[in-house]
Amino acid sequence: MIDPVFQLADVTVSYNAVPAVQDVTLDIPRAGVTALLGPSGSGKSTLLRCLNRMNDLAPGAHLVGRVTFDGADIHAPDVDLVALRRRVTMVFQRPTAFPMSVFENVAYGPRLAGPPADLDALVEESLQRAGLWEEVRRDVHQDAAGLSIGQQQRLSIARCLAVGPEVLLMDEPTASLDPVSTRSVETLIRTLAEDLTIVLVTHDLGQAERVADHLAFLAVEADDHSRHGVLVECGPTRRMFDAPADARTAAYLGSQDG
Amino acid sequence: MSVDPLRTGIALAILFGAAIAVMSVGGIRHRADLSVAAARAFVQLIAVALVIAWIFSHPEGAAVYLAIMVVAAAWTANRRLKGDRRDLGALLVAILAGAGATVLIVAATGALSFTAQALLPFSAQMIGGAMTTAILAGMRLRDDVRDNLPVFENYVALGATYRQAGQQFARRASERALVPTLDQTRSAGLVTLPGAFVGMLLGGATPLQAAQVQLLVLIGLLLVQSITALLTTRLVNPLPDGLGTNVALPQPDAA
Repeated sequence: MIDPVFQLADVTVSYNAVPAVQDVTLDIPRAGVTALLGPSGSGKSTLLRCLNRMNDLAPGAHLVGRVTFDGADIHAPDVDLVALRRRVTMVFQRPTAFPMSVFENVAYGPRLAGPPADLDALVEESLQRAGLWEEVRRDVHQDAAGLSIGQQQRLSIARCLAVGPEVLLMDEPTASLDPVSTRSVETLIRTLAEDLTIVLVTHDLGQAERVADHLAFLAVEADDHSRHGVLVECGPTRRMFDAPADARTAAYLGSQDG
Repeated sequence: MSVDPLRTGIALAILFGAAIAVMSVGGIRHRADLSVAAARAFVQLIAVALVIAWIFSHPEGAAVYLAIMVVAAAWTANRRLKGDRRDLGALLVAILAGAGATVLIVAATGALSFTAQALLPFSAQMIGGAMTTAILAGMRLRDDVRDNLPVFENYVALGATYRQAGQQFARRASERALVPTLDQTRSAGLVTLPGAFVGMLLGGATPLQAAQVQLLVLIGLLLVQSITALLTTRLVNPLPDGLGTNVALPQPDAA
């Protein structure tokens, strides 16, 4: 049996009473990369944003069901949201450099909790883990806006690593990147997965096959009220590609060239 | 200068009637609004005149009056910003700090005499300015956060509280909230004759005296608004109405 880090039970998320993803029950294994895969509109990002309660910031969002992290209900009244979001941090689709130096970008998270003893070392280590240190070491005190888009995405990752997370949520992290930057981020994901749990949203089959240990496949389902996402099946990546249990999975996984 | 109540009444009636007539001829609606606004102004100003007249003869009441004004200003601003009790506290601090610091400086330097006649109207104007700025700064902050929610989320995802994340938007929101005052200060005397200046002249002061008081008001407002804008944008909840708190918890039977 897998050791789940997240457990979702009968999770439905609606925006202004219209369901975006419905009745999802899913265990996400600890360590390695789990990809949430599916066509647009299948609720992958919505589901990902449940895991650190980022949907709290979405206008009209409403969640029914239960989400646990390490066995604890993340919607319990006494949950420390700040602590949750530091343990379960997030990289977004569009790279965002904060309007400050590269160093300050990475130092932002650690400083929130009171600066650590050796901030310089932490910043350097985080940039190294994100594969950016060699490129920026001379300009680390320059404005981060000068970085390329691909570098900005690795900066976003370094920023997350600096807060010492256990889980990294990644919402289509390569969608804005060119093929070279995409490959470097994919390589980085594999390296980081050695010590972190990574949950990745992607609609790119090839990417899912290259980086994910586990897949959860979502599809769009329509009823009288809405078009919403449902979880079709989940399992180890190899098994999902070689022997999908559901015809919809087979159709989708066979639809693009890996 | 003397003001004759009878002649004032006649002038008001003619002015109001003419305004209504012009609107009717021009086919402009809102005549009901106009009447309500005029009636409110009439009642409020007479009431305030009576209160202030009483305070001028009982100066110890000035502090109470100003305290009520500060609370009313914070309450009004909070209602406009649809804030909660914590926001109300933030706005109280922001308005009190801005107006308080300014009045203190003006009183301490002796620029205005330490009397209710001088300090009460000045303080009232500073509190009013602080309220306008607090509303403007709070609304600008929330507009900026709403327009840049993906960036805001990046801060939150690193463990920033909503207020901490909002601080990254505070400087720009403060700058934008100060624009009207800067314009007003820049154009003083050119485009309009400001209120204190007009009032002083009508009250019989010399133009130079009127200019001095008007300068105290304008430069005082700059300080008021700087302080109030900075504090408001750093202390109020930066999220637009309902966001961040509106996600219902899982239904009890879901567990």
